Formats: sequence, structure tokens, C-alpha cells
Amino acid sequence: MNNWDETLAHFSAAIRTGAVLAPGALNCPHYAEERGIGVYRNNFRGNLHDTLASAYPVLRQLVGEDFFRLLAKRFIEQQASRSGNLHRYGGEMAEFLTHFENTQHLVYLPDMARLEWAYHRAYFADDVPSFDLPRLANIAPDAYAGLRWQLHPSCTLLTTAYPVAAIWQAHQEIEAADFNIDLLSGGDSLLVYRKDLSVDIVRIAPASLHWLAQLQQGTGMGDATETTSSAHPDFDVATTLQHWIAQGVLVNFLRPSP
Amino acid sequence: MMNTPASHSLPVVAGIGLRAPHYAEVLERRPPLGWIEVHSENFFGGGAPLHTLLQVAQQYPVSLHGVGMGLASPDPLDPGHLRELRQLCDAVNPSSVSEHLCWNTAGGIAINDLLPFPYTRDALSHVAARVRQVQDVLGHQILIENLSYYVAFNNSEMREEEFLTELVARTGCGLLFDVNNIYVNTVNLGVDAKAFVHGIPAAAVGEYHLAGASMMGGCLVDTHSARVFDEVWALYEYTLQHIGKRPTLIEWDVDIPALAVLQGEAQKAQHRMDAP
Amino acid sequence: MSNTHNLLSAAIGSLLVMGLAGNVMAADMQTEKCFGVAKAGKNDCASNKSAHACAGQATMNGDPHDFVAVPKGTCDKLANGSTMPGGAMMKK
Repeated sequence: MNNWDETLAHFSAAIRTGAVLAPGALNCPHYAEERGIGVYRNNFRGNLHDTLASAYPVLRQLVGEDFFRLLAKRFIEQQASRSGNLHRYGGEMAEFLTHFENTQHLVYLPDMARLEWAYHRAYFADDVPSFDLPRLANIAPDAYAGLRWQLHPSCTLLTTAYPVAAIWQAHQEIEAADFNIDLLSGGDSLLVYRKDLSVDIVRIAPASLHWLAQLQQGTGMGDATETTSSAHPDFDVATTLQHWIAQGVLVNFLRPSP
Repeated sequence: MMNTPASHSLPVVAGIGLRAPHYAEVLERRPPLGWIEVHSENFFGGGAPLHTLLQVAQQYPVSLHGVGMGLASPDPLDPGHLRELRQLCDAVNPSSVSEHLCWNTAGGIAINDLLPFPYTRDALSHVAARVRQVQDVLGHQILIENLSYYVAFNNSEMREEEFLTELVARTGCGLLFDVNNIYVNTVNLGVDAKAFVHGIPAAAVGEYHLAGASMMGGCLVDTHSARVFDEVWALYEYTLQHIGKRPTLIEWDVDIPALAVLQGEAQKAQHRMDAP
Repeated sequence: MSNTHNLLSAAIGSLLVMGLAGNVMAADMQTEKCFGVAKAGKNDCASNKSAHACAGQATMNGDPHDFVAVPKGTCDKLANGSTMPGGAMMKK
């Protein structure tokens, strides 16, 4: 088996990095061997490029199609695909952009990449059953503080330094776009999630974001409520809980382990 | 268990590959289509894609065609990928499930393409074990598709049709014969298409694929972006004579034309199936 | 903790009594939404038709445009769009 594994590893390297295969490894009677491998190189880069273009449509518009091609090429060189499902590729774009020299002056791009990846993730996230309210009636009030709430798997909470939600919206219908957005006007507190089959990007109160973020990390409802209340004295847990259950954001709860 | 077909099998008529540009039209107009096929991975997870497919599945028999399992990869099968395929099958109740005879992942790094490999006896044991694993997880048979490829390996110990024949014997899997793929291999690598037709076990063949390719830089590239070539129609007719009628798919993935064009291509396949 | 206990008891108590239909939006719950478009799945089994400039070795070397390329898209339209915060220009 080793010989076989090695053959495939070499073939993979030839496609990804341009490594040269041992003479005689391949049979290619009608055109140069490099032409045949070239089809695979083109598929490799092309499929990843097209995937990134689909995951980051606003980023692509912001930098332009030609520049995006270069950006994607560099990203692909640094970031291997790890899954047979292309929809999982590209989550490291925000991190990549914080180091990418040619766009250092576009300081809001990493925030935009975070937002677009959250949208992409939400689009393809699993479905879950809707909230089972009667089950909550069976919980003793003494156990409320220990409940650990689960957010819908599509949820991402984002705090950004730049007003990327407005920039994102301006790029959805480019003809009627309002580009009168001051980049220095401050950031957003955002929840990205899927509701009724479509993905919503929603500006939410910082207190809500603080509370939901802790629940998402697995903090019990009691502790999450206390830390949120001390950071945001106006925080109203009753309204917030009811709202996010009604919105399909809080979908389930786990009782504390005994 | 091994020889159980998917819950019910596809009707023996022509179908089309259903892609995003035609979802709305198909759901609104409900045109007459024998059956439809989609790429499994595009419906992993939930939300709008799965919702759309479930609506389509109420109207038409559905075939799930996987492109990312990597049956011949040296790395272990991705358990998450298998689980998602199982979930999708449970939701959609497909008439057929298929995968390709190819690999995509080595040393944890995926190349998101359908890659060829040397057809060796070791590879056969490896792929057979993995086909069994997939069939065990799904609880039914899968069809395995022959590959179009642009280079061949000199250390192959058998031809692709011999590999597939033995795979059927060892696993009880079925075969998806992509007629266009064999034609592409004939042009690029001198593969003997008729020997392939006679070499695979006819009884195992559960589906045919037809598509159009593109000549690029001296190489015929399997772009699924054109009408079926005359040479491929001729090979399809030969296949109908020697293997028999099977559910036949028109695949079109790039520069996707109006639905009517796909229906027209499907009609051409249907006429050939109906010919005495 | 007893204050939190009371808050949670009241919150879940009213939820159980009123259900989700009686959800009254407080001022800070009023959210502003953005809407996007549907995505086509990217997994397929066709070979890529467009040329992606990778026929040769094509990794880190060989593309002189890499080092002078600048973004030319809608980024130019944004107010303060081409400056660092505080007005520092892009470093060369």
C-alpha cells in the first residue's frame, strides 16, 4: 500500500505546488504530460477560487474581480482545503486579510470577511427542531440558573470595528447602492442567523450580544445574566429571552449535569 | 443487505441534472421530467437548499450524485461527510445514490476534484472496503461511476473496467456508466470504449450519464458545458444495444442553457431508448 | 444570586404563561435587518472551464503583477475608503 500512497501524494503535490513527477510515472500518449496535469491544476485552483468568490461576493466587489483573483490565488497557496465539501473552504479569510500586504489600507476588509463567512456558514448550517416550550414547563425554578441554552447552529455573533453591515447592504443591489457610508462612524454589534430559510444580518443591542455570546459558549443562564447585568445595567432578561426564543435563535436547553 | 437497491429505483427513462438556475422554474411550472439528479454535497446541512430539494422530491424521483466522498483516497473516509450523506438520504429518500471511482484527500489535504489513481490489486481491496463502509452506513447499494481522466498511471495492474467488475463482485455495488467519460478517455488516452462496454457486468449497470465536453489546448476537457457530441450519441446507441436500457441523465454544469435545451437533449436520449 | 433567581423565575414564568405569541418588543430589541441573495452550491463533477493562470509552476514565483496590484473595486466609493484611520496613507 505504501507505494500506492506515495504515488497519490506525489500526484497531489504535482497538482498543488507544481512539483515534478518521476519520469515514466504517467501515461499520456496524445499531449504533453504537463498538459494533462495542467487540467488538474486548473480545476484545483479554479474550484477553490470559485468557492471563495461565492463565499465572499462583497469582498470581491470591494476589491474588484481582477484583484480578487490575485487575493484568492495567494489565499489558496497558504490555506489547504480540508474537506471534500467545498462549502467548508475559506473560513480563514479574515485572518488572512489582516496580514495581506496589498490591502492593509482597507482596514475594514477583515471585518467584512468575518461577516461574509458568518453568512455563508449560516446558509449551509443544519436545521434543528423548533423550541419545545412545554419542556420548559417541566423544569423546576431552582434549576433555571443552571440551564445551558443552545443557539441555532446558524448563529454567529460579531462585534466589528467598522460599519460593515451598511457596506454589505450597499452591495446587495449595486445599482441602487448608497455608498455614503463613513468608515470612521463606528462598528456594529451583529447577529447573523438563518430564519425562515433566509439568512438575516441583524444589528442587536450590545447587551443582547453579550448575553447570547455567553450562552453560546456554554455559560449557564444565571451566570450569563449576572455578568451581562453588571456590564449593561438596563439589560432585561425576560424580554431578551422571550425575543430570541420567538426569533428561533434560542432553540433548546440542557439541564445542568447532576 | 449489500444488494438491496436504494429505496426504490429510478424509472428507466431520461432525466436531467437539476442546477440552481432552474430550481424556481421547475418548482413553479413542474415540467415533465423523468427524474432529476443533484450533487449530494450541495444539500448537506439544512436551510433553503434542502428545502428546495425536498419540494422537488415530492414531484420527481431524485438521484443523489456525490462528488466529495473520495472513495479511493488514502486517508480514512470523513465520518462527518458520511453522516451528512446519511442524513440527506433519510430526508430525501432518493431513488439512487452514486459516487465516483476517484480520490480527493491525501495527508489531510483535499483537492476538490475527481482524481484518478493506479488500478492495482491493493487499491481494489482498499476501495472495496470503503464502498462496503458507505453501503453499510446508508443501508443500501450505491452506484459507482467510471471517471474521465487526463493522465493515466503506468503502474496500473488492470483496466478500469476490470477494476469496476471486481468491485461489483466484492461489494455488490452497482455501476453508473458515464458514456461521455469513456469518450473523453478515448480521445485523450486512447482508451478502448467498446472494450469497456463489453467489459463491465451489464446487470450491475443502473444508470447512464451523457454530457458535452470542450477541446482545450489539445485536450478534451470534461466541462459539462455543451450538447452531447455525435460520437457520444453513437457510443450511447452501442451501449443500449449491448448493455440495455437504463435511466439516462443529461448533465450540464457550466454555461447552463434554458431548461428547454436540457429537455431537448433528454428527449434525444429518450428517442434512442424507445427505438426498436 | 437570589436577585438573579427572581429575575429568571419571572422571565420564564411569563414565558410559560404568555407563550411566544405575546412577545412584546422592547426598544432595544428592535432590530435592523439586511437581506442577501441565494447561493448556488459549489460542489460539482465538471472540469473547470475558465483558465486560472496555473498551467505552469505558478506558485510564489512568476507573476510580476502580484507585487504592484491594487484593489480596483467599489472600495473607492466609500467615504474615507482609501485611508487608514487618522488619515495615514498606505505604506509602500
